[in-house]
Amino acid sequence: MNTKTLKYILKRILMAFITILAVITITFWSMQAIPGGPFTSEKAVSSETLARLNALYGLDQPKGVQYLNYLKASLSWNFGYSIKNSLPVMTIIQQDFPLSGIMGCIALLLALFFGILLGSLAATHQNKFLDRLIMVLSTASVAMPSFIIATFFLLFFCIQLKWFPASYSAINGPKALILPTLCLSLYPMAYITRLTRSSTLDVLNQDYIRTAKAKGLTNSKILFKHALRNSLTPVITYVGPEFAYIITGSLVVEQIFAVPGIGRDFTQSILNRDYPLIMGTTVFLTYLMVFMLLLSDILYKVANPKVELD
Amino acid sequence: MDVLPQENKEPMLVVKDLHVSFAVMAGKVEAVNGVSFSLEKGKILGIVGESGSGKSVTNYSILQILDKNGHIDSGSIRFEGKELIGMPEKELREIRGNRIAMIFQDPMSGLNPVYTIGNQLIEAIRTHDKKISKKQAFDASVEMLRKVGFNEPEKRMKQYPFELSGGMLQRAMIAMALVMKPDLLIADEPTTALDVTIQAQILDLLKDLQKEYGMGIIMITHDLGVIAQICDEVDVMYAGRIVERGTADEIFYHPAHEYTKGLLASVPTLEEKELNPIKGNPVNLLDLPKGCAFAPRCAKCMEICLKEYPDEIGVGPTHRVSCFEEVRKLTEEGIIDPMLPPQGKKPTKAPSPTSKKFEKILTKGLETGKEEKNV
Repeated sequence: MNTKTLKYILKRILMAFITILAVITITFWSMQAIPGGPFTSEKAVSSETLARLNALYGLDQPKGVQYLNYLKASLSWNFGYSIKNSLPVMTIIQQDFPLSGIMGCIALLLALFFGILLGSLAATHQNKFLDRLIMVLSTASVAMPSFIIATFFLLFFCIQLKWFPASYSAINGPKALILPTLCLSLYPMAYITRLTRSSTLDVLNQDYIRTAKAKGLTNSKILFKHALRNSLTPVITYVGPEFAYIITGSLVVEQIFAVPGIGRDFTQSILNRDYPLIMGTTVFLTYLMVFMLLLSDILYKVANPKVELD
Repeated sequence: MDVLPQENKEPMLVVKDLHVSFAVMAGKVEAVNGVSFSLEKGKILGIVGESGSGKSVTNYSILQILDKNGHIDSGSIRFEGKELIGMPEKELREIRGNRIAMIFQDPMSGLNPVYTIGNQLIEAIRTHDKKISKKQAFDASVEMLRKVGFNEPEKRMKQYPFELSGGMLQRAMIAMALVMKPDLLIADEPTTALDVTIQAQILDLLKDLQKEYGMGIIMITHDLGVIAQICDEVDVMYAGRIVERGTADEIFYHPAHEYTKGLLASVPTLEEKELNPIKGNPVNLLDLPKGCAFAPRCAKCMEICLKEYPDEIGVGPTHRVSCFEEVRKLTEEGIIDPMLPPQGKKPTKAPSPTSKKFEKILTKGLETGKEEKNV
């Protein structure tokens, strides 16, 4: 690690700070723009009670003051209490993130492993049956929305075959997480397959592959040493942000399989106008996204020495 | 038998009646149509022709590193007495990069951008010699880099291709190709992507190393200057066939085929203000004409040229050409009986007007060849 790399990382941290500030601002004002508030419900609440509740959460103050309060809270990682279930927002995140995080990690690892494998296979068998099959399956997986796949899984594996429990609970344990994880991994897997295939095809036409062949290397060495490292560059750029997307995007899958993860908190908080929780989850996921982007940029540099970090 | 085995030995490389085609959407591209040639160890053979004449394809066929859609349809390629066509992939791999090495046109893209020069050199050694340790392979690589003209080979070993210039990369490619001391080096336009002074240095280097190792070289090029500088023998290719062959002198001073004459005339000189390209376009390899493929572009085209492909006839001690015009001339002069094509009779004729010009190319070549290495 030289001074240049250090400078780069400092620069990225500064940029991350600005990004987070922007996200907080946009979230706050768009939240305010949505009609209704946390205490809007079917049950009539007396105006007196409403006023007291608003005062309790500081919602009676001018918008500018509220914004500054939020800003302060967000930067100090203290988002206050959730309006709906009265727990501290940080406690909710600490409780629910690990489940989503583990599912996301496993889903992404699965996606990477099979995506790269299938993509390379498709590229080396270009226009043959195997390639066509892989392409049809991956196109279908990219095209089908996750709620359809999730519902199908639920119907087939949980209700017809009864292989897996249909919903998550402490008793069902990890077994209930297998299907949602698979569901989450399908889209990135298909996407990585397609990315790997096209970049491998491109790389296999490069002059240095011919050089490697003329050197007398075996096909597997040519593919795995000389082609793969070059063809993975687009995959690396994709994977970093995709991890953050899996976590945020898991809301549908978590909803269907009733997994109490952060994705579910995220949707619920918006439906409930639970301002502190919206803020907390949004800022947390922004941090995650920024970190993953930084990580993928650094990995990109590791994979390709020609890339300059600046 | 008391015949010396040496006498009986066939040349190191013998290519016979090679046919190679490529399957494309529009049909079958017949890239090589019956090429035969041979090369003795220690000789430099130049193969010259314009783009698409099949010179590279012929040589990729030797190592069988054709693109996926390429296919060797028939013919024979014998290397040191062994048939390469149909040889199992495993045995071929032992020949590639070990007994027959290859360098390519563009050194910038010929080395893998994500591995260091050292990594790729060491790999070239350890692929073929599994017993050698990493340290030994490293030392051998450093030695080889020094030999091809690197000043600080240890430092260069740790550098990536993008950190070196084109000339240095071509040197590194040569080092990588020659590190196993091959018997045959195929150089596919090794100087085309380099500027002129670097070209001369690279050719010098190849010539020096060729002498030192005593290997054979096949030099594929479209640059007649390159041929003039280093080749012993020249094959001129057109539309996948060798149309004329001979020593460098024979080809330069007594070109017989109209295509060769056209190639020589198209080299720009300082005196001439205009370029003299060969008129017309290269033939469509998807639909080869029945007769001589050059006939549609040939000023001296006769009726028979469109109907039949001419057999090769000898017009000098080692000079052979496939052209009906030559057959006609020699028949008129009474040198050959049209019924019996002769073998190796030298015609008595004055040097063609184009050859004066080529004295210049030859001497020019020698001058640039002498330029000092400044790396």
